[in-house]
Amino acid sequence: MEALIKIGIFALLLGLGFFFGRRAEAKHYKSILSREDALRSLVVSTDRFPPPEYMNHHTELVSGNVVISVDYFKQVSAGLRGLVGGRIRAYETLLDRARREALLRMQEQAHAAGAEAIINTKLETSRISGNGNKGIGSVEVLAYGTALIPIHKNLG
Amino acid sequence: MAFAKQNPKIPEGINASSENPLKEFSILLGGVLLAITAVVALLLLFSHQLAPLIPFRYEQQLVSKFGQLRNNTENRKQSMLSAEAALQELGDQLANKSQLAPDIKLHFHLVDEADVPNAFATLGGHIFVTTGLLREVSSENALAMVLAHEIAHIKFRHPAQSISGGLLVQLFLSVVTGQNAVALQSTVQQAGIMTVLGFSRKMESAADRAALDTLEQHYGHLAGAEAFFKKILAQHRQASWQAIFASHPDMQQRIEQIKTRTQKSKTAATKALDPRLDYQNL
Repeated sequence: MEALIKIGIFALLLGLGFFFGRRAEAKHYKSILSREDALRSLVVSTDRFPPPEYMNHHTELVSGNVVISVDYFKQVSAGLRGLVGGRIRAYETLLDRARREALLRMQEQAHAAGAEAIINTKLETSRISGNGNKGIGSVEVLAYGTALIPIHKNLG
Repeated sequence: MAFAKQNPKIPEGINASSENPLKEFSILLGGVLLAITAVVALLLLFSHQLAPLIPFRYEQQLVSKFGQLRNNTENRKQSMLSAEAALQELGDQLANKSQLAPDIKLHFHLVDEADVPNAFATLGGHIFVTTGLLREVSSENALAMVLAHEIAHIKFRHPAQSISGGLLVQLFLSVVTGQNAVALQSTVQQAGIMTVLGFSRKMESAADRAALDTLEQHYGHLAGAEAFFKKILAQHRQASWQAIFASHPDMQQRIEQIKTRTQKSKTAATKALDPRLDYQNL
């Protein structure tokens, strides 16, 4: 009986993780795709120096930061993967979402500042672990870069 | 090279797959469960061969509670305690002649059950002898035969073998799930290891042969060895004997084997029982 209850709780958590995790992921991807389209003209580049046409622009640091939690289903799935090795697909989508969301937030900040492009973009990822590495972990992605803002716009 | 006018549209599915995660999950879970089942099945299949390889230490840890039985001396009569000590002495003498593995330690317990003459060996080198058995034996040699028989069971790791299927599976699962041995211990105790373990006919005759070897080494002859077994056979139909016969099948056949060995041996006088072990004194 005790074992049955344990299995029941496990299955329930797994089901909740799968259902809500999947729903959140689908919703998030939909939002990412539409926002990426909206901000397509705000160019994000990894060039270290501004191109000649932006030489006289004013520069400003912009950043976007996101924290996404792993759900129970993903964690169990990755745990099973840990036994045999291979691509952890469950985490790949998570990091893909986090990275794109962070870039979008950076773009949104630059857009609000009136920027035309962002150069020298960098990405950083870190883990925010649950309690004593035993709880559900989460991932943080930070994107930052130099926004190029036309001087006339900045002057108003 | 001109600076891009807009961000390119990156095709989906490169960094992340759109495959339903349930598919990967079910394949993984199925595979892992299958592997565990296969290992468990193999362990069960080869448990008899693998059991003697389990370190004796593990057995001792599993049944560490038996040790407390010994320490619980308050409610026991002095005569019982001294009889148990005498039993331990005789057992240790026999054990020295039994070629036991060096890590095996034997513990002898006397159980106050006058109606059931019985002796059994169980996990962790614990051997239980009932007072009923002391009433039935006529000489030290006859008692030594019974003790040597039980010592041989422990020497061959028969207790571990007879529960090894379950034990190995438990050990394996506790390793896989990372649980400690405490849960394991409780399951073993729940399984009622204190009861008589069922040994196969092959185990019994192996123990008989080893016991006769031990007796020959210890006393130099086999006189009196078959006395107790003969007595058992004589009272075969009595209900109180059923307990022994459940675990000691083919008594007649075994006695024949013992007889042929004893007849080859030279005749000699049997040794009297240690007075501490005399049933009248208990």
